[in-house]
Amino acid sequence: MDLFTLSDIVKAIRKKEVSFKEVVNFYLKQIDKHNPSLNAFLRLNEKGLKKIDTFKPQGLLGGVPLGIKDMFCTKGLKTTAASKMLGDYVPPYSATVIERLEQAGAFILGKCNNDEFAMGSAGKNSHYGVTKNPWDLSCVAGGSSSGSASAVAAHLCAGALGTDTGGSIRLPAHYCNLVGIKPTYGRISRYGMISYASSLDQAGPLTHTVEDGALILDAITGYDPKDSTTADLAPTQFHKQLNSQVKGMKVAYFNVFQENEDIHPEILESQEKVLKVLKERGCELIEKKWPFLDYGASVYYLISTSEASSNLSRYDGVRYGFRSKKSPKDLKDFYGFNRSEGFGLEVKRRILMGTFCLSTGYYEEYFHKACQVRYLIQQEFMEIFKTCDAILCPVSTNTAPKVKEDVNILKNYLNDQFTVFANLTGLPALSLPVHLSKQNLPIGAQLIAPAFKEQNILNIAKSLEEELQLYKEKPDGF
Amino acid sequence: MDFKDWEPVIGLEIHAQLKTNSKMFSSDGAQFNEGENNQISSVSLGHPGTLPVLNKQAFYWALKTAKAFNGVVKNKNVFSRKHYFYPDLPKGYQVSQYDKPFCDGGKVEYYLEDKLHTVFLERIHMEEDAGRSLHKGTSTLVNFNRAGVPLLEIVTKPDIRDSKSAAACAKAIRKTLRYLEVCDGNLEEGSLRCDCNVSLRKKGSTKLGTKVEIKNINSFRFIEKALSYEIDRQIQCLEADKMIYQETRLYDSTKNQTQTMRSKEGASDYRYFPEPDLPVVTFEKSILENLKLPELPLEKARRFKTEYELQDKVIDLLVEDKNLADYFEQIVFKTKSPQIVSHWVVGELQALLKETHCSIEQCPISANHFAELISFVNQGTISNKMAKEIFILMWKSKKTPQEIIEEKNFKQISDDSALEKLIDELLSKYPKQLEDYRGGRTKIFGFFVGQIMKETKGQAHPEKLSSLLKKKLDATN
Amino acid sequence: MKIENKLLDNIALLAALHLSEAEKEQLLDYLKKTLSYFQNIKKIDTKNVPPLISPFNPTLKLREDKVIDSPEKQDLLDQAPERQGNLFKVPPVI
Ligand SMILES: [Mg+2]
Ligand SMILES: [Zn+2]
Repeated sequence: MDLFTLSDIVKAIRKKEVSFKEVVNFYLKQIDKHNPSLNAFLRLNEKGLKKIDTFKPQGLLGGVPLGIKDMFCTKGLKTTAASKMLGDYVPPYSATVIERLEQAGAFILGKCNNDEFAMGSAGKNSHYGVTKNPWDLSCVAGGSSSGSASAVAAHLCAGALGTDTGGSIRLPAHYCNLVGIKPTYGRISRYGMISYASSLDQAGPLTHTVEDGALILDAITGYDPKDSTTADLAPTQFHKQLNSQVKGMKVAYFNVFQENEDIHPEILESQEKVLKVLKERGCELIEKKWPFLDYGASVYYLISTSEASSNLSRYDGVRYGFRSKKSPKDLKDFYGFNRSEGFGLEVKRRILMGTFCLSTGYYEEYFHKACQVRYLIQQEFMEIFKTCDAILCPVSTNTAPKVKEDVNILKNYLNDQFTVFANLTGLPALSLPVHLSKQNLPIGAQLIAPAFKEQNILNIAKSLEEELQLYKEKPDGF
Repeated sequence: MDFKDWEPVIGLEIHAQLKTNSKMFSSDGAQFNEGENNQISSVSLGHPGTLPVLNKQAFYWALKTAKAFNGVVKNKNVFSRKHYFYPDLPKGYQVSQYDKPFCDGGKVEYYLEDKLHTVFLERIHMEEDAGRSLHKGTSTLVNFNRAGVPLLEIVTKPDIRDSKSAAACAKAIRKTLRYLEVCDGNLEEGSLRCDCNVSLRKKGSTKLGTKVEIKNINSFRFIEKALSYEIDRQIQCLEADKMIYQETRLYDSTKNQTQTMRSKEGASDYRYFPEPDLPVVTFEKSILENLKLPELPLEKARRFKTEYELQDKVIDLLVEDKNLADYFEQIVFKTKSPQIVSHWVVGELQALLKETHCSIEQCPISANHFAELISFVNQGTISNKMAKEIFILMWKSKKTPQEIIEEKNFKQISDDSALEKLIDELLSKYPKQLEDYRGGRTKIFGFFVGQIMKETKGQAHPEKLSSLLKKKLDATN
Repeated sequence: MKIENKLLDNIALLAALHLSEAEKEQLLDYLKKTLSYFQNIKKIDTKNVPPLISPFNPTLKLREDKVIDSPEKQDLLDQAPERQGNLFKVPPVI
């Protein structure tokens, strides 16, 4: 099958050039062949697959097989958050985004691996093993939406849904030559998306092209009465308004990276390349200073772990989820056994840090202080957007690291340092492929827009995509 | 009450369950029921990915309550999460309010022994209830029907100085909540829960002593008893130079004692922080202004006094329950006899309600029929005694007074000529007794009355009968 | 700031996590290192700055007080690790 962008597939099915069943079978073959080495899919939607003969591939995403990060509840289909804690959990309901995808005619092909409870940037924290990068099997796919990125990059599905709390869509997209979009906070319902950090989490697509991403967004955006934090806005029409004419758009860029020794030189080169293209295409480039660059990761980790410590309190082994076989002598033991055996190390680390940040005597100094700095950060970004339509910056300092590479935790945490700002401010951001390194590893660029102005960066990304055509590159052997 | 040199300092913490159809943050039913986990959903059980959505009715009722107690309502409302682990707490935290309750201050006013008392409120906040744990020895069983039911927590300032006032204050709060029709106020079913904080200090001192919280009090009588016991206990401790520990004690009504509730292991640190799943609720002042309050108990009492000129004691009994007061007024509206009606309502009616454990809403006699009955007495159609009998028959049979009067031939004989005819017949039947009476044995007057009453099965109009009889007996003398 | 064993024990208790001695050592080291880095935000002057809790505050939509009987009750009960009748069962609390 030559088709591989999501929009090609929708069109081909609509024109009956290919049948829905053929498309599904193509991906099933791919999965059969490659999933054992990638570990991208955790399980397939067996019930759905049994009914493909009667499936009606109609609608915006008519007949598109999608991979779903295992952070989204799918009714009747096991959803684990890649944790032992939810190893046998079968949700009695579906997330709003899943319902909307199905209403738009998409087919849920299966559930994708991720860092346990979306905590991680390398995909190494899954209870079900690390996910590999199809561009180099000795490298990680990036996290936490590791399986989603790997699966799309290796053509195991047409597109995928991920979640992004501090960069978990954009970072793996950058590592895997994909478009990854984190829309404005409140644009997409979080109902049924397993919470990591409530005020930072947003769902979003991982796809080959900008148009593919826009199509998925248009299927899932819009107010949801089940999520009080969604904005009261109608579903978007991004794909219809996609326009690569970006003449006159004002794009801010940050010139602080030259001094950063940790940043890969090819990432700096790729940024230069992008700026050049934008200039050629008539954008006005404005240099700005990245506000609070050194503090984003700190604020992000203090807040996200605090919220996580609270959100993950519900996993206690009383109503659902893992229960230890050990016999407890008291209530404290009961909870302790269930939670200590059910959660992996990184999750426990973050729960402890968050519990500390919220505890008496430390709340002001840590959680509250972080929220205040968060306010200042948001103000500064709003200030930039008074004169700009978008911001261009790197996604990360490096290309995909090796699976075996064992960097210290703090350094790992700083992988997110460029992406967390969009989550802290709630602003929409995306990552798109802009370069392949000498080692043939993908490099992405990040674009950030004002709140609810996703169209700005979708159009700029579309323009860059038209010029650079990186989506046509395929990893060897896939 | 004698507290020796000590002065009790008492504050109340009342949890009132708002009588909404659905829970505070989810659409499951919120009724009191005995079923096992039949009011649950993914949301109320805290399943992964579920989110809260605030119940409009609960929110409006909270505002209405704040308005009724004269509290200051903030136009921004912030929910917070309160964390602790317990099997009946589904999410590991309770959605509540912490440093920014929706209502600050306010006051409760009530009469006790003819004196107006005022207790100021600290705050009112909204929160969700937890489920219920049943401890069965070898295991604990959890029912989540109540988990997520909307509650108001009303906290008074430590303004109360004795146990009687504490009970009266709690009653006044309950009465207002019931007038607002936002809470059943049923202490036994737990739709109203009253915790008391009590400490002692030396008279004249302004420093507060160590506070003890008493829980598990399920009647107003027990508020008084539990506090009296606890005050005594604390006095004895202090006088014996023993420490009072800051703790929660449970009231055991069978022993009339408060007992230490074994404290949960380790330090409790609720780690409150603003609930990120619920946006700050900002609302227009007009919402509050447009919320109509019913006439509240004190206003009603004052009006009853000026409008109907009733006694304070009677008014108290009437306004105790809004529905009873409404019932009373409906009858008065038809009969225009507030005094008579009030006696009937606080007398016959309340006695029967009490005897049958009925609330006024369950009263089988409609206000209309009740008014008809009283009108028959007013017109002299039946006697007061008959009316009381008919009242009981009305209760049992649900028939109208008219029907019962006709059926049982309850008509009073008050027509002069009919009575005279009866008297003539009687006198001709008992010539000897007539002779005796006229001879001076006037005390046998009662004999004649009795005979006629017997003859008429008590239907003769008593006053008329006696005046006519007297006239006849004396006339021919 | 000093995070010592006692503090870690207390946090673990609040978080309802059982930690082995080996884990404790590792976690103590982790908390010390990361938190001391994250403390860099202390340098920022935040006097009179309000905390940002959620990026945007949408106008609140309230839910009508209508009961929707959950169709998934049985599924919810079936998820219970242990059950007695329709009640969730846990070890004795007292
Ligand atoms: Mg309280
Ligand atoms: Zn409370």
